[in-house]
Amino acid sequence: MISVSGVSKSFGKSKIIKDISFVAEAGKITGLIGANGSGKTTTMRLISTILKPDCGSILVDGADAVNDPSGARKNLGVLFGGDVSLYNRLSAWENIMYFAKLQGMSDEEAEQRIKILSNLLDMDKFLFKRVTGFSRGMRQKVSFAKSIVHNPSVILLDEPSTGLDIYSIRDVQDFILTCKEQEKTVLVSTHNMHEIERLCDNLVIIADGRIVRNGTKEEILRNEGTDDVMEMFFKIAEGSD
Amino acid sequence: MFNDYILILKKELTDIFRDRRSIVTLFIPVLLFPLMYFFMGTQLSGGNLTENIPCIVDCRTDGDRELYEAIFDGTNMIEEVDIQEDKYTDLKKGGVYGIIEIDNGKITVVFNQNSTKTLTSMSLINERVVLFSNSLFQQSLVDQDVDFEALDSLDYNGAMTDLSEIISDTGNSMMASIAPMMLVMVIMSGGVSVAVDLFAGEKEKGTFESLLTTQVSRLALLMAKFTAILIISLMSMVLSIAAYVISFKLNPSALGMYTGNLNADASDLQIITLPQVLQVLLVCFALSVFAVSVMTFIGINAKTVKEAQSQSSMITIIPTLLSGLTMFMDSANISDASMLIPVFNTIASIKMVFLGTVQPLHIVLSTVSCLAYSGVLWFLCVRMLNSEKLLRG
Repeated sequence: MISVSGVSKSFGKSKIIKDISFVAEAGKITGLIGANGSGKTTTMRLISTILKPDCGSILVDGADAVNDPSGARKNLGVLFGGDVSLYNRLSAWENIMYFAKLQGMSDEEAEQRIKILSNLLDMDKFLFKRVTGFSRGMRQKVSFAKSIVHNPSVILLDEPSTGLDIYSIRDVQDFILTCKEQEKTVLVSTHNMHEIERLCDNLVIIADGRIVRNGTKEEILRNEGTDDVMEMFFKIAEGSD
Repeated sequence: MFNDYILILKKELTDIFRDRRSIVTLFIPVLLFPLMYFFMGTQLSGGNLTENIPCIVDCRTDGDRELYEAIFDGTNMIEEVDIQEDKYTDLKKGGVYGIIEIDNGKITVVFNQNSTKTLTSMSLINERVVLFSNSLFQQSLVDQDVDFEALDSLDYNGAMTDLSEIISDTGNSMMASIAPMMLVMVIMSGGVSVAVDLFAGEKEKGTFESLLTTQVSRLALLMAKFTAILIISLMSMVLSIAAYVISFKLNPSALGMYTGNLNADASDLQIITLPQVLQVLLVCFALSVFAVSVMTFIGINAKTVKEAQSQSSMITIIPTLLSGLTMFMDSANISDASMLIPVFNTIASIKMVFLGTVQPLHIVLSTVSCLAYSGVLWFLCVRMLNSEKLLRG
């Protein structure tokens, strides 16, 4: 579970995040939705311990991300901004293994886990090839695998399907649903309304650094008097201006 | 933390050595230096021409022709060349080293000061003419029963001799001025592309952000990446020194660190002594640590690869400028304070080692100051790495 309570963050004089609070539950997929510059990525970075909040608390599966960032990172798997960046001169296997060992896994543990992930993400054909020349879809799968190789209980995904073709989007979304079945906490930041429709159980809608709606998808749709996610988003965004 | 350090270091070295560009860059000095010094040596040894100097001889009268023959009689010094286009144009184009013009007994030697070979040859011709003139003068004194030896009470002959002509050769001074600069440039630029890739490159690709969400400590990350760049920089330094040794072997007369004998071969070489090699290695090692610290600092602070590359290119220009300074300084009397200027102190130290004028204090000041500046840069790097500005555009 992720618990964010009264968190604010400023860069210089500009306040980017303004007193936000929400909870992302285990076994649920929570969508963090907002326009560009609304504060989604900063929120993700705060939860992933890369940034420190000015005030408030963040708990990642019970670990205090502010005072014990290392403890929080043990439970976290993070994929940033459609992160398809890998070490091109290493193979997919070497890339994933490198991150597995940085997360403190033994060789045997890592090997077993990579085999499972390779199977789940359909990577067997290219697992031992160097990453140079991989398609974006292949790279995204490897990035996914390296982010969650240590089997974290909390997964943060920032724009997970950006730039992917339709088959890769399906594979990635299926994988996210598998994580949900495994009772993991999944927080997805996305612009893709179809993705929200298909994946998300709960929504946290953020505008100008503030949370403007927070609840189950059905609840928010009902309150806005629509069953279309895109229409709902525009209604809320225009109402918050 | 140590396990993480080793893990990251191993990964970085694997990544670097799988990049063909890095390998080629490392070996460029080994291929380039011997070729370059071989060429320079050939040019220098060509400057010692004493026979068959190709010249245009322009005598106005038969008497002038007789005078020319009297001066150069019995020598193979001049090889007369026919005018092809115009005598001055021929000299400018090369192939002709000089023009000897004699007009009613007045001798003029025309040369091209832009050519080393012409300059050397013309000074030899000049000496020959002066010698002939002196012999004529002596003969006329003898003819008048004057004891010319009594007149020659001062055995001076107006001669000034450069010390380097007595205890060394041209190559040695060239070696002392060019080699330190080349060596320092290699050290300063050896790890640049790797440093840019390891910090700014990872930031731009986004892998740095991924690394920061793992269990690894930021200090281990910095230390491992720093060590990887330092290894490349030191390899580049060692290969450059090896390239110099190959250059000595191939062309001892142009580059030799021996004394006096222009016809010496490789077996006569007193290639710098072991203490001198150790002194050069010590100051070069300290400079490598300093250079890698600068590159790391630039890499961590730059937002993009392009920004890091443009800032790094500055550090290859600085050694060139500073080595220019050492050319105008009296290397035997460099002040202790100036040995605290990084890069300059290394160039000056190597130069002094090659010229045999180095003082232990200078080596100590040079080494310690470079390491101290590296410490300051390290402090700033650690601060930056722990700062939130690290990933902000």
